[in-house]
Amino acid sequence: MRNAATPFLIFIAVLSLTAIAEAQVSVGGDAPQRGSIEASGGGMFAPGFDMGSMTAELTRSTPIDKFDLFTSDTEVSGFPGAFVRLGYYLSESFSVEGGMRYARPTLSVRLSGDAENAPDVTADETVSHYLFEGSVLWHLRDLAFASGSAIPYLSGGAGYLRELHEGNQLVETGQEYHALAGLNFWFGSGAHRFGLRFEGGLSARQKGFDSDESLRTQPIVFGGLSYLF
Amino acid sequence: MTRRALPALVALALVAGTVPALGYLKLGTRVGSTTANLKWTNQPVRYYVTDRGTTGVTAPQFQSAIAASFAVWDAVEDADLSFTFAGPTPANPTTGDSMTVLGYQNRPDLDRVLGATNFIIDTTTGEILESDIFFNSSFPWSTDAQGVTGRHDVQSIAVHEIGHLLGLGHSALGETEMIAGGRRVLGAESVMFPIAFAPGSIHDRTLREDDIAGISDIYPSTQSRRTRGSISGKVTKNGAGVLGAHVVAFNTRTGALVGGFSLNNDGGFTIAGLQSGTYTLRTEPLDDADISSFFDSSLNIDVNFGAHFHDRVVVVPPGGGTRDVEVKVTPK
Repeated sequence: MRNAATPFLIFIAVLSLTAIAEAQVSVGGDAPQRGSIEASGGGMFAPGFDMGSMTAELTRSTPIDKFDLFTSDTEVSGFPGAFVRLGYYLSESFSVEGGMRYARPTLSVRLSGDAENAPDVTADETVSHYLFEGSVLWHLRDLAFASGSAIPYLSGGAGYLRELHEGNQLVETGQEYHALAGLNFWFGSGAHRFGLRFEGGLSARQKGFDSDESLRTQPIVFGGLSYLF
Repeated sequence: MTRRALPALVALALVAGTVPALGYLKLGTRVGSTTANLKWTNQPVRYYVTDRGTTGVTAPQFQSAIAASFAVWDAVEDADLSFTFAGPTPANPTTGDSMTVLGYQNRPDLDRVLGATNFIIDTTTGEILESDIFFNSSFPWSTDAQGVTGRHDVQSIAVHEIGHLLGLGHSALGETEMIAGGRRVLGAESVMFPIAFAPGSIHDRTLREDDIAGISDIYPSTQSRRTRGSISGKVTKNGAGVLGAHVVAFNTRTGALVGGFSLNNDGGFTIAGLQSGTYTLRTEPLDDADISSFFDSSLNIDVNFGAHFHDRVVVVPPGGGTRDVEVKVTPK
C-alpha cells in the first residue's frame, strides 16, 4: 500500500493499529499520492460587511464640536466569485496549493442627513477583487469515508489582495489569511480522475479597499470540481 | 508685455456677507477664448513686510506672524512653492512699486473688510508680477498664540490672504447664518472661505484639504503629479448645463472635503488636486449669498436647483482622473 509510508501515518500506526487498519480499508489505492497534481476550480461566496460611518464635517468657531454637513455609511455586498487552484501533493497527507480568487463585490455608500435636505442617496461602484493565495493542506486520510472516495482536509494559508476600483485605474492591495476545512470527493479509482471539492471556514483580510486597517474576519465557502493528474 | 492691475475680485476676507456653499476656486484672467490661471512663475516669491504695527501688535510681532503664515503654505509637500522674506520696509502695501508688500493700512471706509490682496499680472499669461496685502488696522488685531477674544488673529487672516496672493480665489466650503449686520460662520472647512471666523478664533492658521488641493493644483510638485488626481464632468438640469454650481468631492475613506465649481455654460467642472481614492459628489447652488465673492457679477449663475448627491461612487486614480461624470440636478 503506497500511502502507508508517510511519516504521519507511521506515527498513527504506533499509536493505534486499529486506526491504521481502518484507514487502509477506507482509502482507495489510487487516492492522491506524493507527486500527484490537483487542479481545481469553482465558485465561492463570502458575505458582505459594514465598513462604518463617517460624517462630512465643517470646523466650527467653537473648537469642541463640528458642523455636520451629511453622513455616509459604507458597506460592501457579498463576494460571489470564482476560484482556480493548482495543488501538488508532497505526500499522501500533505499538499501545497497556489491559486487565485476573483469576485465583483459592490461598494455602496449611503448618503443621508444632509444639512440642506439633499435627498438621501446610495452611491455605489463595482470592485474587481483578486486574491492570489497559497495554502498548505492536511488531508485527513484516516477520516476518509465512502470507500475512500471522500477525504476531508484542513487548509491554512495566506494571500495577496489586489482590488481594482471601477475603471481599473485605482488599485488597492492588502493581505488575506485563511483557515478552512474541506472535503474532496473523488470519482472512480484511476490515477487521473475528477472529483468534487467543498470547503468553508474563515478568511481574514487586511487593507485592500477596506478602510479598516485591522484584520476583518468573515466566513467563506467554496465549491467546485477537481481533476487529479 | 501688457500689464494691468487685476480688479478687486481677488481679495476679501469679509467679516460678513456671503455663501454657504463649497469648493476652492482658482483666480484667472481671460486670454482670448481661454482662461489663464494666476500664478507665480518666478520663485521664490520675495515679499516685504511693513515696519509698522498697529494697536496691540508690534512691528516685530506682525512680521513674525506673516513669516509663520507663509510657512504654513510652504509646508504643503504637494505644492512646489518657496518664499523669501526680503526685509522690513517703510513702503505701503500698494501696487505698482514692483514690491510685494504686506502691511497695515487704516481703512475705516471698508468697515467689513479685514484684509485684501491686489495684483499686477501679465494679462497674456496670468503670471503674477507683484501682489500686495493690506490688513485693515481699523479692526482690533492680535498675534497671541491662543488668540484674544474680540481681536482678529493676524496669522489666520494672513494665511487666507496669502492664499489669494498665490492665486487661489474663494472657497465656498462653509455654512453661515444670518445675524444682525451680516452673516456668521457656522462652520467652514477651508481657510479660503470668504468669511472669517469670529474675532478670537485661530482656526484659520491651519490649512484644510480643500486649500491643499487647490494649491497643489496650481503649483503641483513632482510627487503630487503622481499621487493626486481629478474628477471632471458636468452639472446638468433638464439636459442643459448649469453655471456656477458647487460640486464637492467627499473622500469616503478620510472624510476630506474638496470642492469646485461648474465654470461654463455646459456645466463643466473639474476638481483637481484630490488625493487618490473613492469619492462621492454633492452639488448645491450658490443661492443665499454674495455671488460676487466668487464670480463676476455679469455671469448668469444658476441657483434654481436643490442640494443633490450623485448616485455613483467616483474613483480618483493616482496621477489620473475620472472624466465625463454627469451630475443631474433638478429645479427647486
